[in-house]
Amino acid sequence: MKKAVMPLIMVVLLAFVPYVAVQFAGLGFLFGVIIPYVAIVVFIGGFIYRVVDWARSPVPFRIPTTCGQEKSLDWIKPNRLESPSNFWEATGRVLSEVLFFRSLFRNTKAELHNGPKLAYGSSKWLWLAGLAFHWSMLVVVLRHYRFFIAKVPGFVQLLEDVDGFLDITLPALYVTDVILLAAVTFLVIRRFQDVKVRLISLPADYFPLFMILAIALVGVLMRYIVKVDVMSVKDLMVNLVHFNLALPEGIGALFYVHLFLVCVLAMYFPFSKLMHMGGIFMSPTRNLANNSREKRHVNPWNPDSKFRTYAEYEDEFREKMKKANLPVEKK
Amino acid sequence: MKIRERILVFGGLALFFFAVTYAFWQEGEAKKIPTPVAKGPGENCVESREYMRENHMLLLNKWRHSSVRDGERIHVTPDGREFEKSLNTCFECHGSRGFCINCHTYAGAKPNCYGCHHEM
Repeated sequence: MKKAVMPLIMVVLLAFVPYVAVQFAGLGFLFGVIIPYVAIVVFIGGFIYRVVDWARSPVPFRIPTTCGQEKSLDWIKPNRLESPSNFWEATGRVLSEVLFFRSLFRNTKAELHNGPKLAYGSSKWLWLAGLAFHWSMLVVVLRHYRFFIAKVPGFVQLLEDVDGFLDITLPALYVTDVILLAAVTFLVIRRFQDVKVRLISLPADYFPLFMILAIALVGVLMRYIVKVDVMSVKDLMVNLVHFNLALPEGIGALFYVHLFLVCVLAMYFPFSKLMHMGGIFMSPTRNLANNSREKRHVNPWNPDSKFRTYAEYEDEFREKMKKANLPVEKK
Repeated sequence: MKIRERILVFGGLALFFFAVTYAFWQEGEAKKIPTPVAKGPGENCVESREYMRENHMLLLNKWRHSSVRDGERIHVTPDGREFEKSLNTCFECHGSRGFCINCHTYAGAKPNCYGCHHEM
């Protein structure tokens, strides 16, 4: 339980810091201008560092985890997606993983019944909630461009129209807001509810979940219940992206909570499990073609050793071998 | 790294960088909020400026419900002033639809009033 409580306390504390600092200490400039710049630099720099670090690590051998027939003889039908044999098929597998979480779709659950009997069953809820969460998150993030770009781009407007198509509540309820909150809640409950998952869950698993939940809750709160002045918020964000360091007056403290939590998450991102965003593309088990049978992959850091073949050995000792009645290949 | 891997990794990183900094490449300055200018009688609005800035849509929504569904067309403020519940009442001081559109376009929020109402 401590593993979940500590991250929760941290998120609550992190949420209180900007609230108190802006409301009572007047540190709006620090939380509205300086910290966001630091955050985006750390986020981009850290992200690139991690990916380049991965890309520099040698991957001498093919280590694809396959669950399909490898390409071999002409009359055996290969499974092109599950056991890709060239670049494009491997690309297909990476994309199916990135866009549809294909490997998570195979998730199973194990249950021990009386007997004792171990039973396995399909379990798609994690896949469904994960997919719902990630896609909603993408839409939510893209929608936020309307606060950063003075003339709202067409695709953002389109996303908003589609997202708010239910046209209930005022301002219009975004479907992704609901889906995101529901999915994250499920992902949190999933970690508590199953003993096996609870056992392997670490603070580093709970912290990002609580952070995202808190950010989304504060965002929803600002949109639907405790209003903040959208015009000055947009002024601030547009100023920031044009390196104009002016802080508009009169932005509600709740906004700073939202912004600060996002900044903390962005700075935490490159050093945490959230790097799976870049890592998914770098997974050797996903992006390597399974072509070990048709192509020899030589380990690039093999020492340059001199090998002696059997043919050379026999050439040297053929006469002696014949005398000793040992079989030779060349007469 | 092989050349192709290099192109893929750095191409991907460039794409990531562009996506994250997309807003930084866009034109356009922060617009100063056009301060509501009250033309006409010069009295105060239905509610305070701060309230109206953040909650005008809720008030208009309430007006729509009560006037269209319950036929209550007169709004009485806590300090006793009376207003007809109509967009025309707004326009008496605030001019026209242009008053709404400025901020709404800037914030990327579409008001759905003008789906039915004409600009007066």
